[in-house]
Amino acid sequence: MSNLDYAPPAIRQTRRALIYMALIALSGIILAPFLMIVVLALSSPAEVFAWPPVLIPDNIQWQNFSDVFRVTNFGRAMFNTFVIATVSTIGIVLIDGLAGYAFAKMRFPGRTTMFLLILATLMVPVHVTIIPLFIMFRNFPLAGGNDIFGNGGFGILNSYPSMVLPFLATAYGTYLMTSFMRMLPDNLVEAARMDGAHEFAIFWKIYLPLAAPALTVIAMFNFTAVWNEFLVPLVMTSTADMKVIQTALADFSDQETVLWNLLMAAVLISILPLVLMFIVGQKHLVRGVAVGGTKG
Amino acid sequence: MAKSKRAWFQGDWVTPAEARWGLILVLPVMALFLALKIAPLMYGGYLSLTQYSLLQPPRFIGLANYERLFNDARALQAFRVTLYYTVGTVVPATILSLAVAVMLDTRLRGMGVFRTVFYMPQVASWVAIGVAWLYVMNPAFGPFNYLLSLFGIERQGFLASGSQALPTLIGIGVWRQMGYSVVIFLAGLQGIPQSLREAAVMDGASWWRSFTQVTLPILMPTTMFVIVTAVIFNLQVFDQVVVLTGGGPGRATTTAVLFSYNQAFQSFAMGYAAAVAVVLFVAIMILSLLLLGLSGQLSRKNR
Repeated sequence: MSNLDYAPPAIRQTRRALIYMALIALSGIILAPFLMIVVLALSSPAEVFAWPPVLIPDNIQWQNFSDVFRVTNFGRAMFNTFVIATVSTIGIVLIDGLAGYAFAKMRFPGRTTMFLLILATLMVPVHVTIIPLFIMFRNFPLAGGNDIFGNGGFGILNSYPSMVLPFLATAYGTYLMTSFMRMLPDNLVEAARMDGAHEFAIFWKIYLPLAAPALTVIAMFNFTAVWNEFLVPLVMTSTADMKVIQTALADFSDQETVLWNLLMAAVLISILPLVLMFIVGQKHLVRGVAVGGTKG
Repeated sequence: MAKSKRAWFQGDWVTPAEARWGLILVLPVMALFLALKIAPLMYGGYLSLTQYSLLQPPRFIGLANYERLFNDARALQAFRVTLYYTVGTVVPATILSLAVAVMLDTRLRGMGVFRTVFYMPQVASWVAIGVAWLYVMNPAFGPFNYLLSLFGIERQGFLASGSQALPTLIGIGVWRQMGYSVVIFLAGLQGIPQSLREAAVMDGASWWRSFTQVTLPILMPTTMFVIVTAVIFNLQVFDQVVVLTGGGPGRATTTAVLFSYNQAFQSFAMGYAAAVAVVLFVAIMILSLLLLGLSGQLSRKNR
C-alpha cells in the first residue's frame, strides 16, 4: 500500500489518520479482555461485582498474587506445567533435529516414503488420537498397577509421560526442520567425512548448531503449545497433584461462586512467562508462523 | 567395495555406512510417529467399530456406531453447531484480518506495536482468555452489559442465553483467530514485489483497482492457506466451549469434539466417541481437499 505515497499530501495525511484511528479502535477491542484480567487481578472481591465496573481498584490488592498459591495448589500446577513443557521441548528439538538432518542430508532406502508418511500425519487432528491414546496409556503393561497384559490398573495415566508423549510426534516440527536443513550446504558433510568424522558427530557438532534459528522457532512454538494445552491433561490426568495450569484454573470456582480476583491473578501469572518469551523472541516466532503461509 | 554391498538410493549407490546411519537417525522419529500417531489412528478406526465401556473388552459391532450417529439428533446437532461456528468464525476473521494486514503493511510508524497487539490473543491459552471473556460477558455484572446500558440497551444473557450463546462464542472466536491470520497475511503482503504495485499506480489505476487486480490475485495462495488452516482449527473447537458455556445452555453450543469427549468420558461409550471423532476427521479431510481444489482452480483462472 506504499502506493498511497503518490497521493497529494493532504489526502495522504487524512488516510494516515484514518488508518491509525481504525487500528487504535481495533486494538482497544483486542486489549479490553487483557485489561480486565489486570484490573480484576488487583481488585478486592467486592469490586469484582461493582456496578458500574471498577477500572482502577481503590486499594491495589497485591496479596491476590500470594493468595493464588495459598487458596489452591497453583504452585504445584505451575511446576507440573513447567516440567512437561520443558521436557517435551527438549525432546522435540532433539528428535526433529535428528530427523530433519537425516531426511535432508543422508541417503538411505525408504527415505521418501518415510518422509511422506510423517507429512501425511499433519492431517491427523489431536481429537482423533486422544481417545485411543487414553486407552493405550491406560492399558500400558506393567505400569500403574497393570499386569503384563495391561489390565488391572491405570497404566501411565496421571503421570508426566502421559502428558509429554502426545506432543513428541509433531509433523510440523519435522517438516520445518527438514526444510531448514535442506537450505544448509551439503559440502560440510563431505568435508567432515573426508576428515574421518563420525556420522553422529557430523550431525551433533556441525549441523545441529547451524540449525539453531529453526530449532528456536520449534522450541518456542512447542513450549507455548504445551503450556497452553487443555485437552491432553484434561483427558490423561484426574488427580489433584497432576493438575497443570490450564486444568487448575478451574479450582478457583465451584458450583456456586467464582473467586474472580484470584482467578485473574492466576491467569496473569500463567500468561506472563509466555508474553515475556514472545516479546524476546518475536522476530523468530513471526517468521516461523509466516513460513507455512508463504511457502504454500 | 563391490556394488552389491551398497544400498540403492534414487539412482545412486550409497555406502552401507551412510544408509545404516541414515536409518539409525530417523529411527526415533519414525518409532514415535508409529506409536503416537499412526497406531492410535488405526486403533481409533477399530474402536469405532466396537462397543467398549472400559470395563469389558471391546466387542465388535460393525458399523452400528455410525448407523447410530446418523440417526442421533444430538450428534447431528453437534455437527451442525460445529459447522455454524466454523463458518461464522472463519469468514469474518479472514476478511477483517486481511483489512488489518493491509493497514499494517503501510509501513507507518508504530506498526510493529500494533502487530504485537493483534497477536496477543494467540499467546494466551483459550482457558486464560476464556475466563476473561466469561467475566466481560457476564449477564449480571459483566462490563459489556454496562457498556450497552450506556446506550440504553437492556441486559443481555449472552453466553447464558440459548439463542445468543453461539453468536457470542463466534465473536470471541473471531477475536482470537485474527491474531494468527493477520500475521500470515502480513507476511504474504510483504512478499509482493513493490514494483508490481507501483506499476499499477503508474498506469493510473486507483488504489482499490490495484488492490483487487494486482494484490489480491497474488495473495491467493496465502488467503487459501489462511482459510484452510482456520477451517481445520475451528472444526475442532473444544477448549473455549468447555470454558465459556460447557456446551450449553441445553445443547446449544455442544460441538462435535465436545460431544465425542462427553460420550467417551461421561457415558464411557468409547466406541461411539471414536466413531464421532472419525466422522469429524473425514469431514475435515474432505473440506480441506475441496478448498485446496478450489484454490487450484482459482489460481489457474488467474493465469
